[in-house]
Amino acid sequence: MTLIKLKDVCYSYPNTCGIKNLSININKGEFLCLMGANGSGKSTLLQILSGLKTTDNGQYFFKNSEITEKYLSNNKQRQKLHQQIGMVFQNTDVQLFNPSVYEEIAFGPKQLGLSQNKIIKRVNDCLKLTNCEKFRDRIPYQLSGGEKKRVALASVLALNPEILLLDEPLNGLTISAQREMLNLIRELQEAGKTIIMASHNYQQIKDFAQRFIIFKENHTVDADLTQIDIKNSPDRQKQLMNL
Amino acid sequence: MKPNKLNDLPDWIKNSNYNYKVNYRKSLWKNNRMHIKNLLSSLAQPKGVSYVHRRGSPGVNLIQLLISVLLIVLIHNITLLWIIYILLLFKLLFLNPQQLRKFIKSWIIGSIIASLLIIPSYWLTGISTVLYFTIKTSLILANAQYYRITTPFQELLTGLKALHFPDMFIMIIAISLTYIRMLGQNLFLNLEALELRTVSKNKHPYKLIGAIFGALYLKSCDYAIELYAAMEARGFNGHYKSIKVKNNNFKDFVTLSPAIIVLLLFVLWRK
Ligand SMILES: Nc1ncnc2c1ncn2[C@@H]1O[C@H](COP(=O)(O)OP(=O)(O)O)[C@@H](O)[C@H]1O
Ligand SMILES: [Mg+2]
Repeated sequence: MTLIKLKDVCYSYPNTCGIKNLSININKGEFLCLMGANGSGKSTLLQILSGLKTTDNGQYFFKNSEITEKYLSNNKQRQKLHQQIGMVFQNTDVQLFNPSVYEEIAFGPKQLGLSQNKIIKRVNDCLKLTNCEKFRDRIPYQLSGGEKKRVALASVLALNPEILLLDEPLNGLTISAQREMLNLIRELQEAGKTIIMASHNYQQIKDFAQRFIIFKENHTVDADLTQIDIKNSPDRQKQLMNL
Repeated sequence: MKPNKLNDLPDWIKNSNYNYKVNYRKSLWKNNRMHIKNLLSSLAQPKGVSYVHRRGSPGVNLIQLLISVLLIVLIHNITLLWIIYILLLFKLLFLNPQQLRKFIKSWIIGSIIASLLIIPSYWLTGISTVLYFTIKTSLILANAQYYRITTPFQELLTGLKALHFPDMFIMIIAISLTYIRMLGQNLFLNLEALELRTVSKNKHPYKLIGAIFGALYLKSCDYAIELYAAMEARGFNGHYKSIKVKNNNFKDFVTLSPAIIVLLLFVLWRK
């Protein structure tokens, strides 16, 4: 089932191009990795998908509704969209604003009209999955970079979105924390979630992601390949290793 | 790294059910989200400046602005004021359309605000004084505006340095300008993140505002300290390096000459 359909999408910042002429379809349950050099447009694409930015040109369809400024100006539609699409920012600092890790994670579920017990269970589950139990009462602001990434993921998971947008979520994590997070993401995908993740480290995720969209420096798409396509092409592997 | 199984996912995460009983009523922030976001993003993202038709060196451009403003304040001769106007219009010819639009927009708004402030003097002195001051004020605004849209921030600092402003003064300007932008940017991103996780009407909006500004405050304290430390680490010792300003440059002379001509006229023109 096609969840996301992008047609010729362009987005420009006041004095630079963000992405150019992007057309892709994303199906339910995919584990998709956006790869490309710094500044090639990965974060911009994720922001468009999340509804934070709207396209300058071209169309973005989510479950057959076109996402436009007008669509998003309807409160109900916008909030429904945010329930279904969760995002971990590249700069996690700005994402955490609650006075404790526990409250940070409870922030989403509290809005969903769940019972108190269900909220507590959700938060505890998320703390456990992301291995954040140790600092549940600390101030998110004072955590280390890697810890913040995990708390941010937990706070997004607590809303149980169908699509997870992850912007370089492994940056700043130790190798073992990277492994834990990748496995968790993989399991979420197996449970039916759609994963769209930006990365510039091929080595790290080559066995996890199933589809790779590779951006060129000029903000267009270079290739759209499966894991197997890349494994069969030494040239491609070399290119990705050197990103 | 190879995938392997570590966790058992809880049941709630395995099904995607979005039939929550939530209240999607409007709130103030949501209704004004576009306005607030636009405001903050324009604060966070300085408008582009054009580097194309730079003529004089930074110091000279600043001197030119200062002379123009001084002259406009001192001159009481309508003809000379007109000459300054015409010189300004001539400079505007070199702006690209986009900049010109920006210039005209902010100039008109500025002039209207200024004339509103001046209008009360109508009852004291009459229409001619009001017109006279409006013309002068709008001229000063126009010159300042022209400088603003054609001068990158760094060049302002260089210009101040070339004119021997004290380092302390330059540092305060430099830090507060970068800093305000950065705080605006931070708040903007905070609000974006908040928006993504706002999936229904918030029950305690004021608590939330407190939390966001609290986070912003913590951030700003740290940022100020880090900024200074980073400046020190890169060799900053409280002194801004004086940047070589070529004094006898022909271009500088061309840049300054209109202002000088008006200055001479002002000095010599005695009726
Ligand atoms: N807020 C912004 N303002 C202006 N330009 C931006 C902004 N964010 C990103 N860009 C520019 O857009 C391009 C794409 O950026 P981005 O999507 O962040 O790349 P990536 O995530 O792949 O590193 C870059 O050239 C970058 O400089
Ligand atoms: Mg990025």
